[in-house]
Amino acid sequence: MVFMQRVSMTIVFCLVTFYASSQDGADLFKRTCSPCHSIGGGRLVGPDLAGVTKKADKVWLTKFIKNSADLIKSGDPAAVAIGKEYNNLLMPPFIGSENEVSAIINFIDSKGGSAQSAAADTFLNAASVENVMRGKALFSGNLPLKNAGSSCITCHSVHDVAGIGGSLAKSLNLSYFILKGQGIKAILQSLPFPAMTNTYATHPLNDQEIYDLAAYLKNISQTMVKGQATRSTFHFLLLGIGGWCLFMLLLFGLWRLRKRLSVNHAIFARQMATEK
Amino acid sequence: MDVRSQIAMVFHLDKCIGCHTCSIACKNIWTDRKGAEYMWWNNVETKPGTGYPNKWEDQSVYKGGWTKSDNELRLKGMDRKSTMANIFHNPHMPVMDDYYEPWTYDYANLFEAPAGDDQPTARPISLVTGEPIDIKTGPNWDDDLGGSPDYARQDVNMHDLTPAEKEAMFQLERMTMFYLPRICNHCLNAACVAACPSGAIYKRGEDGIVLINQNKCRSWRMCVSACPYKKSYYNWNNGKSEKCLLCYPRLETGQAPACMHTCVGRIRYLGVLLYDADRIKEIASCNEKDLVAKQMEIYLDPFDEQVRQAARKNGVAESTLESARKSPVWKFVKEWGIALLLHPEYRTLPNLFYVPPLLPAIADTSTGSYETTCASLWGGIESSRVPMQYMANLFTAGDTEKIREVLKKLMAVRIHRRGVTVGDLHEDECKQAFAETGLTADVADAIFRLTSLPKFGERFVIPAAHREEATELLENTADIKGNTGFGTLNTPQRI
Repeated sequence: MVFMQRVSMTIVFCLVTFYASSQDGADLFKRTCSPCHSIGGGRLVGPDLAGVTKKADKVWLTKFIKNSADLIKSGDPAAVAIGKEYNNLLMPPFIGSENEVSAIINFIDSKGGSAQSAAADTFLNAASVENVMRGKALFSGNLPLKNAGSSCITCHSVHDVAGIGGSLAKSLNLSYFILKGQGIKAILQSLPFPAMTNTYATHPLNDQEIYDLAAYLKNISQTMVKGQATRSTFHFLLLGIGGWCLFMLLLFGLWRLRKRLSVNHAIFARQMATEK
Repeated sequence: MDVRSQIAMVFHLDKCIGCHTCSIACKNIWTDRKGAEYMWWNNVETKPGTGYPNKWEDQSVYKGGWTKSDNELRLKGMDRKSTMANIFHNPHMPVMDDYYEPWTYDYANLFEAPAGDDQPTARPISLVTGEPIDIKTGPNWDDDLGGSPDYARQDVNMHDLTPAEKEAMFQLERMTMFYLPRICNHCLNAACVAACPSGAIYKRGEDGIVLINQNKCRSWRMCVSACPYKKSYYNWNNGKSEKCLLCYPRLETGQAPACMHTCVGRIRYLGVLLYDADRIKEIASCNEKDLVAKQMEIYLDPFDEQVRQAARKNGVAESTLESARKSPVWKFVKEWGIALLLHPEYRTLPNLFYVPPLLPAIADTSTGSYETTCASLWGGIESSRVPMQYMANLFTAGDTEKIREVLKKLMAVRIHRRGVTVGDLHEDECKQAFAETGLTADVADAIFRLTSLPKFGERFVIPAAHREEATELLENTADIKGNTGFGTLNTPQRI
């Protein structure tokens, strides 16, 4: 009986703390929104949210936070405009209760202020070639991640390792232009996407790794835009077709030496000729 | 010394009448199945002739057997590299026409054809496609010198013959022929075993029978092209290769293989030979002129106590050693030295020996009458209708001396027996024959007895198979004892 009481009390305690914490808008914002959004700190990956509660009503905001993709698809003019402004980079849907969404909105509302223009992205200013090289090694898995996380290539591809890169998640060719240094850093630190959250929950990236990877992705995006990127996917196809042709040629070359005719071919031919 | 036991065979060609009973017996037991119709694990060829599959002896086409290059023994048709390169097409494989397209006849038409002006016929129907075909060739198309200009004249063994000798073989009243029955040689240095990429072919430890594991065979067909005797066949229906298994289920129950049991001329002998497995590589890779003599060295004397000890240590059963001492093959091959091997130059160290035939002498027609008698019986060997070189190409890798020696021994036995039964020969002639061949009257009588009057148990000395011991190697028989019976191993289940 005592045991049962203790158990139920523990459960009640847990629930209360969970509820309390989930009601804490500041904490929620920090965990789920801050990688891409600031409040009054200027635009990051997504817009600066300072004063957003004044621009849009709470119902719309709730809908947008819960699933922006659906809202854009439904043709809501405001949502479509935002999507366009941010290169159709969709905000991941919020997984949580209605209460949590309103807690976040309340938190943003309480901060007040107004949106600032994009802050200067100085994160990667000090990046060297060495950082890029190390980032590439980390990306491709040639250099293992310190905390034994899976290397990026498992799910992502970039143009200079295309063909062998993963196709489970987005290609990161243009990631720098969409996210900027701050955005990449924010995403790698907080890992807001479910698959990444799970993958790196127990194997987080360290700061040096994040910096190297961000430097590498910047380099990738720049070469991509400058047209230096080799279109490896196409090369790979060409290589495949060429290799196949070569292989068939080789096979037919070898097959030519095969014994096709019977040893008695001449005899049969003569006999058939006589018959006619 | 690594002494092992081998079931070996002797075919006495003088006694073969070419009736093909052996082939039919084998076909009825083993190859009367879909996909195996064209296979003749046992076949009888006419020599001179091209045989089955056609020109099988022409290794410039089929590339079977071993060859010696850079002092190393290599498979003629393939090494590791070329096997990899050719693994999907196996370039030297016989095509279907090299064997023949098996067929049956549309017998139903004889009964069911609508009434018409002509007799109904039974058209040949291919057993492969099921369509009517025109028969081009069959398994014994050149039997009894049939179609000689096309077939016998293309016999591969006529190299090194003078044009006159070649011509004489096909002249009316001068030509002759003999039969050559062939089964798998169960070689000591089998090329098929070496060539199989799946490792499906193995030589049985207890009696040296070469078998294809039907579960492991992956239809590469390398055995088909590697076997110089073309005695491994591909079953096109089930996709596995098959070959003569020396009727091992019969041997294990003490019966002679079907081809031997049914042999009308009683030409076949079967028995155990002991051999030294340590010497296989050395002998298979020796110089070609030494091959015949060297292979005879590999077989060990079952009467030698040292050999017996080594054999026992190797796990050869006492009953096998005993039957090795009674083996007719030992007598023909080693004691009397009158049995030779078919194409020893393929270097597979075959275990099927042949007593070569004593063929009629060339007739002399200059007097107007058909005269085959010579000054002496010895003359019959030198003026044999089949050139000595031809026989040598078949049985001694081209060494005419060796074949002459064997034929002289056979003739000495005839001279001796004629002296005994007819008594019209001068004693000196018999003495000279013995002196030249090293035979004695006793040995000649023994050869005569085993050749002409052998009993069943003398022709086939089959060692006990001891399958019970083999079973004990694989499973603990005590576990099963007392547990067999209905529903004991598999208890009934209630649902």
